[in-house]
Amino acid sequence: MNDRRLESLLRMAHEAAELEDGAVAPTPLPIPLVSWRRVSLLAGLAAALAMALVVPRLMAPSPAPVTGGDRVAVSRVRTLSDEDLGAVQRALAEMIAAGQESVPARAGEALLLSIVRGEGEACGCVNWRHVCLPPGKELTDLSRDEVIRLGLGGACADHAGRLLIVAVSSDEMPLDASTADQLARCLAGPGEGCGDVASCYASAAMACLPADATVIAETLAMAR
Amino acid sequence: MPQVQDPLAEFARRAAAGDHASFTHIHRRLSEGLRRLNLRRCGGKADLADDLTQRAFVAAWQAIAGGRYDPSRSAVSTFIYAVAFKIWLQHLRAQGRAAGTGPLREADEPPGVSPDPTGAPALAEEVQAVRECLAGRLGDLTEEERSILRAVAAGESDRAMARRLGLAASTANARKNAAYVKLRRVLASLGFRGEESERQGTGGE
Repeated sequence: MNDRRLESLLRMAHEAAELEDGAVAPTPLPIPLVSWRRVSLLAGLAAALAMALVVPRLMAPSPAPVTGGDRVAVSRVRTLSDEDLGAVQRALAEMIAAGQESVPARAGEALLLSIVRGEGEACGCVNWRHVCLPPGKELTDLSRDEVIRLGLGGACADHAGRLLIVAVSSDEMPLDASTADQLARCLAGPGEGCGDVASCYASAAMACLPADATVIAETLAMAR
Repeated sequence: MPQVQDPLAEFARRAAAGDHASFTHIHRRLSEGLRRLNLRRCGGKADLADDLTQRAFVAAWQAIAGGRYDPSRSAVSTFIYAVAFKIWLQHLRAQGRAAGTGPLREADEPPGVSPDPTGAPALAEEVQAVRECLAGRLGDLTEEERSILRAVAAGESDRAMARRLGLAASTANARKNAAYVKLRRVLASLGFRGEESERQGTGGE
């Protein structure tokens, strides 16, 4: 073992100890701007459910590519309330009970669950659908901008004030309404108190998904 | 290796037994620190730091739920640090591919540490062994030698270290090298010989 590797290990040990002690120095940050990039969606396959937190409505799949160009200022997101998450769960359960046909996912697809709150609480909705990942890309290859772009390709996007997006890909389970319901249940349970910490939602979702599942989550608040 | 000192040991044990609520507690305890670490690594890019942190915790849970983490061999903070380090190396490598700049710079990729996430348990065990040495719970390093190694770990220069210890630079350097020899011997006695994949008798892949 040469000196350079030894010094690497010493640095890593130091940083791991810092992590455990909560002593990692903070870095001051500006509020970032999201720069939209063009994302190609090859096809939407499933029925999309949109639900105002009061008035549910049905969404159609979105086969067309999403075009980019505008910019969205991102600020600190507020916490989704338990009522929001409970409403998501109820709406999905109703949809399943009503016999919505599930469409199994194919390779290169992901299930996308968007939970949107409108500005001034005027419009809220939940949207789940399949998205086709860009050719050659896996879920984890998508940038934050791309995930948010996909998540906004649904109900109420024009009036979105706050957004939680959870995307899942897996070979071991169908990416359908039942999975979306399962996901919503996870988010309504262990996800309580996650606030604006996207990794907390992703971690909560993982608890209910198979080991092979890939999960990414994004939270943000927007002002156009 | 002696009993690993881990303030999150109970949560780590429960998480390793499949209790996701315990993992959530670990996440709450460590996520902000890991995010800050990632911010430091990626030059303050908040989105990237968030993404890397999230990927690290998801990968850590998958490894823990899959039985690839042994709480008796490394603290959960060390394990999550190791997973996050791998994710960071993966990111650097992918970035290099996208930019067409080829492999990582030498300074970015420490020798013997690959971006392969399946090697995280072995890396965590090796880093934990170094932590135990620095804390005086493992090996026969003197307090001065541990102090020297801690200074190296914190990035202190040889000159600053010599000044702090009140020694000539050449003497400080000689003592540092002596400490390296001892640390290397302890790691070798545990089966760590330079490459994480060469560790013998570990639970890592």
